[in-house]
Amino acid sequence: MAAPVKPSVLRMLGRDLGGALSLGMVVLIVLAAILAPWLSPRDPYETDLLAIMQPPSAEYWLGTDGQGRDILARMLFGLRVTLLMGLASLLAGGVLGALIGFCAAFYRRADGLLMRFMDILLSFPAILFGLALAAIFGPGEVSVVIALSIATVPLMARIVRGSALVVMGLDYIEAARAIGMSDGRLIWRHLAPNCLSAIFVFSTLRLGQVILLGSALSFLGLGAQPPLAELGAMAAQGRNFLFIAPHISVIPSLGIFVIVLAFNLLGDALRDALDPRLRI
Amino acid sequence: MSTPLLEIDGLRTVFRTSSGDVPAVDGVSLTVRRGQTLGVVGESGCGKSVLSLSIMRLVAHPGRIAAGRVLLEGRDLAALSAAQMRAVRGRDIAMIFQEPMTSLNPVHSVGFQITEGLAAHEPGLSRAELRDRGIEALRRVRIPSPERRLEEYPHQLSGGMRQRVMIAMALAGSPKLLIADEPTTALDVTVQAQILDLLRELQAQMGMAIILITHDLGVVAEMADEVAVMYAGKVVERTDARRLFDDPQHPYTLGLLGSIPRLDEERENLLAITGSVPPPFALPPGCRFAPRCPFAIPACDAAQPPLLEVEPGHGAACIRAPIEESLAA
Repeated sequence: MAAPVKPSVLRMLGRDLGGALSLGMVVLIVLAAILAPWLSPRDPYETDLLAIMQPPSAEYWLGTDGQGRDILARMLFGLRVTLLMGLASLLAGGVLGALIGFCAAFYRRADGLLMRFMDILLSFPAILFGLALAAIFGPGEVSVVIALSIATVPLMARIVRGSALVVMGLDYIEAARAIGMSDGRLIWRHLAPNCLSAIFVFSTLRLGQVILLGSALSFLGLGAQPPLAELGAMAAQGRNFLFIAPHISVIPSLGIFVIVLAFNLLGDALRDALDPRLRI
Repeated sequence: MSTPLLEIDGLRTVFRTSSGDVPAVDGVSLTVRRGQTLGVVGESGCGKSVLSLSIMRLVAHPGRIAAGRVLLEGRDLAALSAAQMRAVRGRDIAMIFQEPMTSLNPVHSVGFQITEGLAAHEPGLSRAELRDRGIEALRRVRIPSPERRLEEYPHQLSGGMRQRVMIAMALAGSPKLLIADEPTTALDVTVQAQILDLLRELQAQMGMAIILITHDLGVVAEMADEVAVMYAGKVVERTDARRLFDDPQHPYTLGLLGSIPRLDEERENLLAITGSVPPPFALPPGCRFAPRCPFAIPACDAAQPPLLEVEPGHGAACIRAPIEESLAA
């Protein structure tokens, strides 16, 4: 059932066109973000008032924005902020959610209480958390990350609980208990590794959603503040020039679209690759 | 003889349901002597697996031990703290399970799983020592080329091999008592015999006592010194293995024995016990076997019969015991 995971999963991904394509896109996106300072043709914050709202050209590949800043440079640096906000909130919310999910599956007595609490969290939209946190801490990346973390916790908790409950029903958990393993060790060494595929798949899908939500919050002015380059904020700044210079808004929006699409496709492909029922 | 290794006294394990506490094990008293094998026989749902989990204190919520004591060498296991109980598991009492396919963790190597318990119980051991002990444990259960097997993962092993690994894992800590919950049910007949032989050999070598839980009377005949027959959460008959087959006293035991095909007798049909086991939430008021019992009389429905000795060392919970064999025909 569960063969050593790494080589076969990559092979499964490679076999499926969507998987290979999305993996390639994700790798390119991450590389672009990491290499932004070397790839970028200019400083993303350098304004040139003689070259505002330039359409894409040989000199400015993606044109310039309302203050004459190079959109390509801002896209590359914005990618970093957008991805980091997404990753940070996925990591924080995912780890906390996974812990809660493991505890709910492992300590059945706590299950009802923990999951009802998760249901309560689930009933608030992420945007609402963002608004509330921006009101408390002021708008900024930190508020966005906290809001998205909180919104991710209950989703991850549910996914992990479901997958952990299946594992808890298997004899090897009982067998490990019967040789005197402590609860912590049971969860960490026996339960968690067997839930990893579900966690991976969900994380990949969720990263796309979180990036979209983060950009939306920035677009609403609750997240990244000017002049910081961030895809959602850039799309928001171009809003005023939508009829004169649409590329200022459209290009970052397309960027968000491509990122989210890549992560969603990768998540779908991962799910197919890790699903034991589909494995031959 | 000195104190028995394990003494179970009036053990009652209940499961909480919406319609109140339902007993799965109801007032079971048993003793296991050092180095001996106690067979616990009964059909599915009679509480024999819950009994084994209760001894290990592994009954999961919503089940709990409601009454009774489990004494290991005179020490009450119910009174131990969780940490003390963990130290008992694997070192004093170990357990093997029915399904070798699911009782090994697919993400860890065989070596990791065998030595994990040792590492927890004897924190002083170095990696090399652990490895040596793991190889020794695999060699003991007759797994060829143990050095190589140690690195393998469960999916690379056959069912019989996995059950051997399970046994190696359970015996790595040299327990005094091994609880084997249907250890051969999921295996091929030929592999079954090998595993039973192995268990017997290891028992002779290491001197541990075994509680063998099974629904297979053939396995009991081959392995057990003493036998307890369970029905609907209670022990209905308890004696040594020879007498159980020669001179069964409880009608349920008679029924079980009658349902085994035999080579030395000619019979048209096998006897079958009519009806089915009453569900634990709708038990009859008197003897729990009475509704299915061919010997039942009105008095059987009045009260639950206690387990009484019909002769020294042979207990049966039946008011009509001793039942003469002639009645069964």
